[in-house]
Amino acid sequence: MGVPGLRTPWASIAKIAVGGEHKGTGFLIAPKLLVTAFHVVEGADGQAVQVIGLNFNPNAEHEDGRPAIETEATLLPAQWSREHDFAIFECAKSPNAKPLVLTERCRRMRDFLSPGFGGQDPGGFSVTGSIASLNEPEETGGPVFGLQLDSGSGVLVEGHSGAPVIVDGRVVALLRTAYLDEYGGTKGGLIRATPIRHVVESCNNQNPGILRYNANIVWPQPNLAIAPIVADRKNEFHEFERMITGQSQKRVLLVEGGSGHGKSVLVEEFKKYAQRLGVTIAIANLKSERSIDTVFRSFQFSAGEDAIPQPEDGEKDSYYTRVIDHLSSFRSPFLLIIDTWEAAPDDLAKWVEYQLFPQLDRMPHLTVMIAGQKVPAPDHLDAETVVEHSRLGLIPVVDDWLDFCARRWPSVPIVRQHVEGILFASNLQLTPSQMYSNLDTVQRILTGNAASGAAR
Amino acid sequence: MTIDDILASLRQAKGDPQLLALATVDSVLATHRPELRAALEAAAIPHWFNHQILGSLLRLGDSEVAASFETLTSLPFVEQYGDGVNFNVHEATRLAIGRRLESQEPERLVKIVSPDRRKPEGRIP
Repeated sequence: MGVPGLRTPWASIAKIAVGGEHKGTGFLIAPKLLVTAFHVVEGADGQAVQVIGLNFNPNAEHEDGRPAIETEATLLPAQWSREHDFAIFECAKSPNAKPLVLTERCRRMRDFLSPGFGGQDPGGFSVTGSIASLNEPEETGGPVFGLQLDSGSGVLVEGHSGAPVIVDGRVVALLRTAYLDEYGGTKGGLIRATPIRHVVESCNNQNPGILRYNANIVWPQPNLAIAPIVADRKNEFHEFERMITGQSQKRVLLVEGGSGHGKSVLVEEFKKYAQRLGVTIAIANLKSERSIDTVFRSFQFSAGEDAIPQPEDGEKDSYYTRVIDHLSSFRSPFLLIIDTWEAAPDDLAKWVEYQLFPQLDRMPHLTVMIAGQKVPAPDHLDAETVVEHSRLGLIPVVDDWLDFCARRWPSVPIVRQHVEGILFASNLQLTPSQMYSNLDTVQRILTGNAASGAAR
Repeated sequence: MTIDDILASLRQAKGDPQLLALATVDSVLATHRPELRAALEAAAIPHWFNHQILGSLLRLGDSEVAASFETLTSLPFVEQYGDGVNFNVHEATRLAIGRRLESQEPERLVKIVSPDRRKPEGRIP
């Protein structure tokens, strides 16, 4: 269902014509980009047609007499998928409407609204219902969402394909297929929809950053010029960067590793990067903060009271619930970091696992990073899609360290021979922390900063 | 100290994690003033230290310990502990130093951890 008080966003939803004939529905996902189902625009040759006609009706939303906007739109190269049944077109003329907000988060049994131009009323009507399944098998491009219409059988939905499936004001999917009776009406009200995350992930693979989840949040742009100076850890950084810039459905980065494997360096460097991008950060290191109270004081100190409220006099357990409510109303990108998780007190562990994790979909702006020799079990999360679990190992690749040295000490001539020498002299067994210490000694020697006569 | 010395020291460890940790510590210390070794070994006893704790462990006054404290906290295996006033020697390094003291110089270990009788009771945290 739409959010109470919000109008159906008709100005951002278009009736699609192919060769002058009404074929389906599409909606804006960026100021001039529209997505629809692939099968809506599939030509006789099995390929997507290159040009379609669009008709937007802003008056249906604003009721102020605005004229309809008609424009052609051209298929974006490589931005379509037969497998996931979507295709993206660029409008020749801007429809002057807000793109719909996309979200990767959706739960079963939530009510939805799907405005489109099905045969029931080609002038535009909405079907409503609930999300019956998040994991419906599909011959290609599955799994997909299974939807149950409130109106059950007999609704003429041909022409509604490609319509947005809106939950709480955000698009979670686009309509794909319906079970139809011999008259073209819905049979049992069963419909399938392509999760919008397939569209976002697929498009961002081709053109990183082209689409964002929760675009009502002003996400920062990635900036490789200020990327962290760490050896290797490319996958971790790539995923982290996508999370804090709104490009990934993943929300939790778990960094697990033994002593000396560079967890805290990673935390510090990633924190600095996020800070430079303007992300608000709450951080606590459980090495020194051993009770839930001091951890929350640390969060508050680092993020400020706007983000993490102060406890009221006498407020105890309810405070920690209130923090989540408060965070849910925060609208800027936010990063919550906990380091040294193995030292987590029970009450903090419970707060994270039983309160914070299950409510992540209330906080689309939030990324959580937890590091430690142990990390929390993501039992209360859809671990496969929401969690990135990284297990830090040794870094035995010479080029990774050479690259690191060149960035860390750009004017010091540390060469391959030095790095190889250290790695192989240690039988490739140095932890990253020890490797860094030895390279730091080498650079001190090479730059003449080493004191003399100090050997044991 | 030369780069060849570093490599020789690492080779002698033969891949043993504890010996590699100590070889790394020795190479790092070899590029600093000799007094730093005592400061690092003292700082490796507690879980964390600050200026005052280090002074107590080394039996030095505030001004005497200042230089060692500053250099110590710039070492690659010394990290901040909490709010910026306190520091700790990285766990793997701390444990390796502690084990070496215990097995090779137990009397020095006892001396470091014995209360400093020159200081008033309760001064040592």
